[in-house]
Amino acid sequence: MKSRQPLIILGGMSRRRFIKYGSLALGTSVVAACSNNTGPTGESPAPNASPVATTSGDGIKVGVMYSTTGSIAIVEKSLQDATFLAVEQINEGKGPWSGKQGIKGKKIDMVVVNPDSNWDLYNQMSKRLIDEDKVVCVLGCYTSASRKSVLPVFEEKDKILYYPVYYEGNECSSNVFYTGAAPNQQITDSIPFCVKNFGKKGFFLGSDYIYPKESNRIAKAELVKAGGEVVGDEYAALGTTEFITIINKIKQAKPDFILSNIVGDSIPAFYKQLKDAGIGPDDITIMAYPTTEEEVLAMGPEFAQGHYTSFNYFQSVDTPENKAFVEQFKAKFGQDRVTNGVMEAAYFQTFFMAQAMEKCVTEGKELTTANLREATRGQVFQAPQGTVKVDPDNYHTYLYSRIGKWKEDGQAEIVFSTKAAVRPIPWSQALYKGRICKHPTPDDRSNSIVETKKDIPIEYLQV
Amino acid sequence: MDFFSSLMYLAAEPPAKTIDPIAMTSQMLNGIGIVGILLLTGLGLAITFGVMRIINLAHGEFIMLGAYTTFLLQKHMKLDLLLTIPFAFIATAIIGAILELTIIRRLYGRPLETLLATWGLSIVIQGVVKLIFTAQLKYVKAPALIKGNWTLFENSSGTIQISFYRLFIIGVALALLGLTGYLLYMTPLGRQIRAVTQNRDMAKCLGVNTSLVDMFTFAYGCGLAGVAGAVISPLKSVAPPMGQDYLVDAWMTVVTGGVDKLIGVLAGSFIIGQSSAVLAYLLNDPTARVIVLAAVIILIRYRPEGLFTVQKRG
Amino acid sequence: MEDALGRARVQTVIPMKLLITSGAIFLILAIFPLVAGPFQTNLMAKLLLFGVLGISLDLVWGFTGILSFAHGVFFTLGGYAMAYYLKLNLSAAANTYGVALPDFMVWNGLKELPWFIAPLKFFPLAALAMVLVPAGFAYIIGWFIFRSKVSGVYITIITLAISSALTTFFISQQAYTGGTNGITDVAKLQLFGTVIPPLGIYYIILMFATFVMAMGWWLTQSNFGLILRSIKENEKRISFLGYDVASFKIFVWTLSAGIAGIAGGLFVPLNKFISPVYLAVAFGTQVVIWVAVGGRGTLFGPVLAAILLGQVQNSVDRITQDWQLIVGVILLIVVLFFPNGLMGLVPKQFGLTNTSSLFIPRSTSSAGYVRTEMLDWVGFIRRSLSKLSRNRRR
Repeated sequence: MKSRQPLIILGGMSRRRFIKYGSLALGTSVVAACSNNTGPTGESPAPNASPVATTSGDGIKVGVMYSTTGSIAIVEKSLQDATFLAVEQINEGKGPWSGKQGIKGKKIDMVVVNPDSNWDLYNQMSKRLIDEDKVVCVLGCYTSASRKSVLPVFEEKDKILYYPVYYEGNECSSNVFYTGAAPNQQITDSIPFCVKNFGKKGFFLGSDYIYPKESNRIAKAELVKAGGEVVGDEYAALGTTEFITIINKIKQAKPDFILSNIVGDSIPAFYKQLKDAGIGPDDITIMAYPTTEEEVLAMGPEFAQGHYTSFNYFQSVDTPENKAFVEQFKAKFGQDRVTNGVMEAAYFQTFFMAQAMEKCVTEGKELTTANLREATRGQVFQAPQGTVKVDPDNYHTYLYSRIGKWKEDGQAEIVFSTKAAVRPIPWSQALYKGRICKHPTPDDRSNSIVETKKDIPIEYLQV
Repeated sequence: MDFFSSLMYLAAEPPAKTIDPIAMTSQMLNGIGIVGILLLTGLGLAITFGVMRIINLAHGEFIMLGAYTTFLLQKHMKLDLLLTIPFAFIATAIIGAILELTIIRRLYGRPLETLLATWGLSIVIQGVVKLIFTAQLKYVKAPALIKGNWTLFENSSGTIQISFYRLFIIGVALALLGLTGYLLYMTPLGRQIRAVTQNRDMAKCLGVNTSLVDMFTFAYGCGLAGVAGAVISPLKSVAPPMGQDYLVDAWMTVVTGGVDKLIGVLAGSFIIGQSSAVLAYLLNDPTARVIVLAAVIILIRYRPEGLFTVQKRG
Repeated sequence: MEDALGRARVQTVIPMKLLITSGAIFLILAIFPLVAGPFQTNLMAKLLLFGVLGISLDLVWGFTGILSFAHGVFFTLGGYAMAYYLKLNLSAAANTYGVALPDFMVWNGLKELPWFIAPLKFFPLAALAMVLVPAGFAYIIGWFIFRSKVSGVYITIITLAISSALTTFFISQQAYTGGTNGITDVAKLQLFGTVIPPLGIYYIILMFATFVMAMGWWLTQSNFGLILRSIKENEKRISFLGYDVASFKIFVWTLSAGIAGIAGGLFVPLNKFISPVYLAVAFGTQVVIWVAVGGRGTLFGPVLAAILLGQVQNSVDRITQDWQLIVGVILLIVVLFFPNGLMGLVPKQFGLTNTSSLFIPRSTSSAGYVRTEMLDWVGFIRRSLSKLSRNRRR
């Protein structure tokens, strides 16, 4: 028995163990040193260094949940920047908040988390924000998948998420305020525009996940309604940068326009390879939803020039609020940065939140979820894109619908704009006729989907 | 929904109504573009894995480093992309050599641990690059000289053309393949590398400085990845996670062809590239990917050493 | 020690230290939720499940030498089985569309429930599927790859391809799987008509983890475990001895996939969603890292690593947003300087790692020996006392 050596040799002599412990201690000190270097003050040498977690004082704690690393970071980092700008302005009484100081003197304390573009960590970190950090509400998320992964958490624990992104609709939650476009604020105007200006044949393209598929399904229904014809419908794997096959299929289908719901870092790849394959905007025009100033800058403006995007906001929107926003953003984060529609939503939703908190405090109410929810309903704000309002019934936001044509400087020339913000409808009326979302007052968190079976008229914001 | 229709759903969308010969030819020609990228990204791996048996999961990050080198040189020195390629090679090769000296060297003979270490490296490299350059997408300009398309055939029913830049990529890939072949089979250094591959101890006995050979080989493999990054960058944009996209595909390429002979990489990239191109045209992208990966699994099952192998002593 | 009596003594080493230490760990974990808040309880339950997933990988990697990136796949398959069950049992009022069809199927234009998902509405079938689908899938793969020349790195690459292919497949079959979103918004788990509270789920997971640990210990200490280790050390030699190596590999591979599947199944009521993120290569790598950092060939190691790394990540995130850089550095340090993982650092006195001394080499009938020994309580106590006294003499 003694002669049989253990098959797995572990432990060992004390001298070796000493070396091990010694090096472990060294290792942990290296880790500690790393974490100090990358700590709150010196997170990055760029001017966008911002406090990672400000937990001191008796301010109002708000969670900020955007990935700053991983595949989605290219988008979410900008959303975080826009949120930081808004919170700074609120705390210091600058910009739209001038003349005030925080929430009636109380500062907003951000608790910033980075879920590393991992849906599992969105879920985990939202739990942490709510249970451990006891935040009042959370600003965050970009993709549908991340929203879906945190939704059960917010509903179970009854907290509020402010979500700044255009999305596929089909949701009527009492725990989310959607400040990005609902389908009717982005799709409804763009399809007739395409049919009128480019032609009847549309090629539908998207990344392979829920938002592009649902968005394209709605857009196809709209195109058929407008008398057009669907000549192709293709989905590329999320995050792919190889578009050679799809471009070849586009060439064969000979559409008048491409409706693109390609997202993320696939966008620059698609535009570049389309031009590289010899297809310019005069041959086939792209009408895109997720292509914004940021992606145009990343691909090089010459590749987007002449193509179109339908969005609620462009950096070139001509309002005094927007001029101030762009100027302040550049001053804080660098002159080479651009603003886009999602960032603008991330910016103004912070003010929705702040105004609602202010309302609660003024009325002497505690900052509970129920009070904050009632206070947020119907908030109006002079956003960079114009006057926007939280719809008190369905918690989505009245937004402008605009179409922009990309110019050689990476900015959009706005060729179409509604005269006022459009009322959001979370369900596409082309697919689910008469279905709306109407939360009761006060919201008892019951199922609020109403089947009216009637046509829902297009309404504009009356101020 | 019965079983067969659910099987049919694999094809997700009905396939193209009729297979247009012109379109099909055009697609197969374009498949060459995919082959070029696979060859370029797989070549470096064929060196690090094939020659050194390092399971390099940080390969994608070396591609990314090459792309960032090009971005930096374009931005600050206003160099054309073509001129940045040698610098991309040198920069990534130096980084590769340093990492070999400090980390990889300690793990020889333990291939599965090189896998863990290189995975850790890939996290660290991505993290460091993100700290330096931020997460924003960066833009790299295509070379001014190479523009437009080469049209082989054109009539009313369609065109067959391929962009010059895609041709350029496959040209670079083939040139690197030739250079590597020359280096391995025609030079004394290559003879030493092959000796170390085939029997490390024996090579040592015969006076080969194996550690120097290792460092050089690893650095060369990383340099090739850097060139891949530089050349690919104008087709997409540059960001810290960009390398991850290429990792699995590069591995499949290398494994399919086998790593013992360089020609294996070419065969692997050709088979995978063309079959993905054709299947993606007939069905759709995700389905093509699933089928190709399944085929690779079956291939490894029956030819674990790839299609092109040589017998050698363990 | 060479006499007959002495031999009998040596054969039956009693893991008193192991029992005491693991008992203490179990007690700490049992009391944990009463002390910690809801978030920490939830996190701990999740990390325990990840740890169990690590153990399941360790059975095939640490003990048998097959490195797999596909364990996230088995985990997720079990998770989907449970998620379908919970989704299909969502009350009509809670379902957005008030029909029996899950919301993502409605969005993707399905008119009726697919036949292969419909049976999962019933708990016994879903529970069976939770184990059998991953185990069956693993059996097919195992049968396919272990009865061939494929070895070492190439098996690893096959698992990499499986993980990548299945991720793409699940994402593209949005109508059936929910695409990248996965299955969210599921019902609470009910057993016998009562909703299980979060604390109940924690204890179910703790019991499951304990069970897996005990089973893993029993399995690896038996002669079966000895054969597994021999396969890892020298596959040729063990096959010359007349063992059917492939069968052993397929068995342990299938078993570990079944364990991973149950872990995935328990993950869904805890986390309320499952998505292809757990199928992806990145998550498969995460599992590999837990085992590597914890220590291959130890059962506590993966659990320890999962809990530690999870907690490190959770607390470092408060300091810096670039926490995964630090995780990468930790991984590098462990790989370079501690090839035995964290368990190599745990002092031997705890008896957690030094499993090799527990071998019972004389017996030839594998599992039967251990079973009779477990029944022999009197001998068990006697031998443990003598073992203790011998230790003291040393």
